[in-house]
Amino acid sequence: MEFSIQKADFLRGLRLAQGIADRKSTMPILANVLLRTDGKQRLLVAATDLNVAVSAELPAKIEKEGALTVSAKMLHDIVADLPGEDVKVKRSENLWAEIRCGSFESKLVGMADRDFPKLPEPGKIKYAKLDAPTLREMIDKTLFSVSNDETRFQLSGVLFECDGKTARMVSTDGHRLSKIERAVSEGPKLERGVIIPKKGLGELKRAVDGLGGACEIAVSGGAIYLKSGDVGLSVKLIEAEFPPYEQVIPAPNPVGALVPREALMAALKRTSHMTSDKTSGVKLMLADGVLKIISDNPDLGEAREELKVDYAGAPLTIGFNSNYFKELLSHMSGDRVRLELSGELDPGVVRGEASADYLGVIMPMRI
Amino acid sequence: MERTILHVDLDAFYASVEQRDDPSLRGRPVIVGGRSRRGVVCAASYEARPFGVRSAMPMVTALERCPDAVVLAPRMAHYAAVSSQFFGILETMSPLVEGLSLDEAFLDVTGEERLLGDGPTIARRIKHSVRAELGLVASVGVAPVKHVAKIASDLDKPDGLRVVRPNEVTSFLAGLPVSRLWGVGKVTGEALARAGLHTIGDLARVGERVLAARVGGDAAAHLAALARGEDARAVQPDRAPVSLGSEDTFERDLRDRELLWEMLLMQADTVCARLRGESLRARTVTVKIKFADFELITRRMTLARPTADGREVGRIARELLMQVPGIEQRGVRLTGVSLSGLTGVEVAPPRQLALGLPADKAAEAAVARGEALGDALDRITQRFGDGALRRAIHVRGAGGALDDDAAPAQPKEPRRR
Repeated sequence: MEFSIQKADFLRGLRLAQGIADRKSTMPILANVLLRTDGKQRLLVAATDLNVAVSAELPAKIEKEGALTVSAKMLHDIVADLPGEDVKVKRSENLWAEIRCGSFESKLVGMADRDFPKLPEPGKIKYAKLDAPTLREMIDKTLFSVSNDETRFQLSGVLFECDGKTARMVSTDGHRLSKIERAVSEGPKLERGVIIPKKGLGELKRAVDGLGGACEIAVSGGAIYLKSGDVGLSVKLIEAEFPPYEQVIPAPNPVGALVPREALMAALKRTSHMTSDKTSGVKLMLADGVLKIISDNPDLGEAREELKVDYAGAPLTIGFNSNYFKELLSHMSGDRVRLELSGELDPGVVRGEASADYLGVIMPMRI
Repeated sequence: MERTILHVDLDAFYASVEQRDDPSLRGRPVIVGGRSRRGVVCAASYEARPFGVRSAMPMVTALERCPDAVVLAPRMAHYAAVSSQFFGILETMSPLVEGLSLDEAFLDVTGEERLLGDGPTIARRIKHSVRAELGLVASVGVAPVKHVAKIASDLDKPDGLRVVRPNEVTSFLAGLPVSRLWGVGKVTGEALARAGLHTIGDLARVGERVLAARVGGDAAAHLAALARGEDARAVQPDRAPVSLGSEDTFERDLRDRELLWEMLLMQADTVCARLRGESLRARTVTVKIKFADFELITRRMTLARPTADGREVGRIARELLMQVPGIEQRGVRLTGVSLSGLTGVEVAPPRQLALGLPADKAAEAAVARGEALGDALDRITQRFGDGALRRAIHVRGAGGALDDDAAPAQPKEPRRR
């Protein structure tokens, strides 16, 4: 194997590969990136952790066909710091990769490509279009509330539903939930929702990062496939039933408070200095035209702040984990959000002021 | 204030218990340990030691050195019972007893002169009671700090009693080799020897700054303090364990995941029973797998809420096991389950409320069932003994797949040759 490639192209593939290659696996080859020529003046750069696989077919000048695997991180770091644009890579005897660029040269120890796991082959499947920025936004606005509890694998990913016209993503960690809906045209028609695991979603997001146009999506045989330009990604889905989330989303409450979003975020940030690290609990007191945020920690002290809000309902006091609110608010947009609270043991809901397509549900804390 | 610390250590504990219980073994070399090809020596009687038999040595080597030794399988439950009698004696001497293992403890007897006598007197009383009530022999070290007491108890074994008075500490330590110090293993010992530092006195003389150049700053401060006879550690009664574990080496390498899981489930049950016995719950489950080529790997998972439910721990262990590649090809010689992230039994309900997803409700119910089952298991075991109740999967002929070959090399149930 021998080829020359532009540093920027090579690095684009290696960046994706590096994020997926698994350095902690008991299979050392999973920490490697596969480099393989395909006989058509293109270089395949691929990596997998057996759940997520990425492959990029990059333009390259192939001198000699062949393949090799080398440490994904090492190759990425070397290429990132190369002094010029033209990079030459050659497989020499005993599985060495020789890298040359300008007057720099390096030899990197490799492993045989035949030991690299077979990359997922979707076969002939029908891809549907999805706007890349929309996909990115939907992932962004749901990924943060995925459960980190490894024992509840049905919650360790985002539910993705799409009937071709409306795409929906939902995630919950059992204490809070976020849901986003977006209108799409000619999107994938899925018979049922699928659960995309957290790591895979992060990689999907990276793959469409900065992309303006449409990407292509398909679900088949327990995996979701993404094509975007010369990059292909496959993510093994979580084989489980996502809980019936509709049950825990309260119906719209006519008595909501309209709250300035950024001012609330800032107030939560200031008052949460006085919460205990473990629970981050704050009290929200809603009364006529006023929202008070109060934190007190018997060991440290207390803090409070008042915001002018648009509210005309009954007075309420409810405890919440301030981090849940801060995270949700930071993913919302618009000047004001609609805060719907009902009882001190009942879920709180935050919706956009104008549109109902993105909402978060947060359960209270006993204070 | 000057303290009086005792370090008490039972001599050749497991082997001595066996010789005590079976008079025909007295005066003969006795080795307690796994009898399989892969067993290791847990304890050797003083008759076996002149042959060069030591704890943790492979049984094969031990028997090469001492072919006439009587080899007995360990009876852990029995030793644990004797151990609690031993601690019962210690607790009559001081409220400050810190157990280090079944047969070893520190006592702080400061200020008990008027009640029970001074340090050496209490040491003699302990030795006397251990002999009279348990038929065993203890060695005791008496010193103003822990590490010196521990070194002292070891010097005149067996049946030792060594008293190091406060004004004798530095002279007592000065002539001893550095390897006697807590924290000096092979690597540090060699680094010190290269600098010509062989005795604890050498360390005390050169001081911390010279040591820092040889072993690094943190270790130097630690060693210099110990060499001066300083040890700020207090005797901590009832120190809570950091983790609890159970592991077994198999007679032959196992390649069947289902069989390995049965072993893990058994280990999960064992360790959960101990956890419940200590009124603890654990959040982190670690599975340990040693391959036939001796490579050791561990896989861990942290639960959202603490548990002491063998079934739940077994389920996690299974998930972790199934993710480990190469089991069938490489073979496994040992598995273990350990629990960490230990907390007390939670009484207050969690402050953060849950959304009430159906899965939450199911989990809630499973936790309640697990707790109730644990209670029931403990009561049955208390009444009818270990192994009175076992999972069907662990009973031969009841659909379980455990056979003799897969049985642990060191049986858990009492069994004599």
